[in-house]
Amino acid sequence: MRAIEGDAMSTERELEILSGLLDGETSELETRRILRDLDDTGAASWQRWQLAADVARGQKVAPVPVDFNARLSAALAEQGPAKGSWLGGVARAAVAASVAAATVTVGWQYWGVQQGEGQATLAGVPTEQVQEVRARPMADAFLVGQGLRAPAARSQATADPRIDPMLMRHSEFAARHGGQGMVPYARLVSADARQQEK
Amino acid sequence: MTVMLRRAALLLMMMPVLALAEASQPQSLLTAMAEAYRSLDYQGRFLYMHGNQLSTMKVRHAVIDGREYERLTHLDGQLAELIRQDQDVICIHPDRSITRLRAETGLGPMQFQERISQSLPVQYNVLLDGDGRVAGRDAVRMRIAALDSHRHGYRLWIDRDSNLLLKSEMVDAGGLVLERIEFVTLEIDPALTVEDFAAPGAAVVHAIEDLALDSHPQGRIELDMTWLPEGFEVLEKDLRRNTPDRAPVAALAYSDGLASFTLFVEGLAAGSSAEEGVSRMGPTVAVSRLLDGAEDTSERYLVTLVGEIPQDTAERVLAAARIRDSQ
Repeated sequence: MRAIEGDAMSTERELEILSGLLDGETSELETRRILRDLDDTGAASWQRWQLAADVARGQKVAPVPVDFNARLSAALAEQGPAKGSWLGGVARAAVAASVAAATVTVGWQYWGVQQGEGQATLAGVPTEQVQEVRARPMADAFLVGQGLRAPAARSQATADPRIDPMLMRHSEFAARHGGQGMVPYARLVSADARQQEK
Repeated sequence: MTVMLRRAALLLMMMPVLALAEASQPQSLLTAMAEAYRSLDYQGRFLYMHGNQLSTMKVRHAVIDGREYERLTHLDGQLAELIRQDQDVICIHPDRSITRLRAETGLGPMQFQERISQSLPVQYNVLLDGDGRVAGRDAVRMRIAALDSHRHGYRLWIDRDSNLLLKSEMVDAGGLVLERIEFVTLEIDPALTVEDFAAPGAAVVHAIEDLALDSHPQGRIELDMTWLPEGFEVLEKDLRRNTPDRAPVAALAYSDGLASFTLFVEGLAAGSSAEEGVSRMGPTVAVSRLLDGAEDTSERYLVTLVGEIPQDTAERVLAAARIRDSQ
């Protein structure tokens, strides 16, 4: 793991890396390293990455490269729905989202008919309300990326605060058929507890 | 004297063989681990980590009067719990509402234990990897490497005394740890009673209701898979609804014996929208894709895969899914 000196310094550096990652400027190895750092660093680094999330929410809290938001948006706008290598297209958005969403406490989308009400905001932009949207579990982890670019045509914040039933059903299957004992249950309980922690 | 010598010589000759035989049976250790998880009484605290998320949790497990009880409690942040009584699972959400996952009524699925005791999936290479220490206990380390790119690998630390899983990591092909669970305290045979597993009263109880597959058109949707990663097979199919006013959603559970994913299929009502895409949280990937129905219908379906498999594989599985109109 890299040694971290000044907090501001490292934040700036991290954001550059993140920015590069979003622009597709990082090699696969670098990307893996970034993601590995994300995984291996413990609670201490959470704050560093929280900054990234704050940026994603449009809050100025840290020395941010001036063009960061613009480059992020541009990078995300470029992506079509194309599938490709694991860093291409949708996958890259997922990487971007996972980088940002790992720190934004991720809410879970209730699937089925939305019963949302009122206006919601994502990244400070009011989003439209749509009555009938089905979304997959963790859908807003992906939409964190989309939300930066433009008002998403969906109302993520009106999602049912309950944990996604698909995730519950999958976890239950996985616990019975998988080889990891209680791990799927632990995964579920953790996600459930985290999701309302906003 | 000669007999004794001969015996000693024989014993010496056999010892390495015995040791080897024992060491080359990670399979029996895995079986013992699955058995210990189900049959022992224990409680402990553990960490659950993915990315930079860290949860501290408590687990209690006991077999009382032939029934198996398990309770997981989230200790930091919001209080969330899961209580299991045999196959009945209850989730207690932070808002203290409860979701009941009805146990399936159909044929009993083939349990991991039975599968694994027959043979380890050939898509994995399993080896014992020396000793370790977790929660102050001596552990045997095991490495389970995926032999293709369609599944993740694992590193397990198994308690020498009880065979319980003390620590587990899920690792991707690049060695990146996607998820880690690790006990910090573990007590075997604590005095647990049924009261330790009593569900709190809740104002709101949701039930994810189990329906007969042919009771609703959604249950009759059939999927044709033109490709599946080797070793994965369907273990279960069910149809459940979250609340009585929602259409039920059919689910197909796949597993290769270690990893699993679930395919959810739902017909979209005219005028409703659905989004395609990929999301990830820790080791879990969720991918959804819109499919057209059989020819000369305007039906549209949303297929969602949720599972702990590599994203590329998940996308490929979905790309291989076709709706078969069986009505």
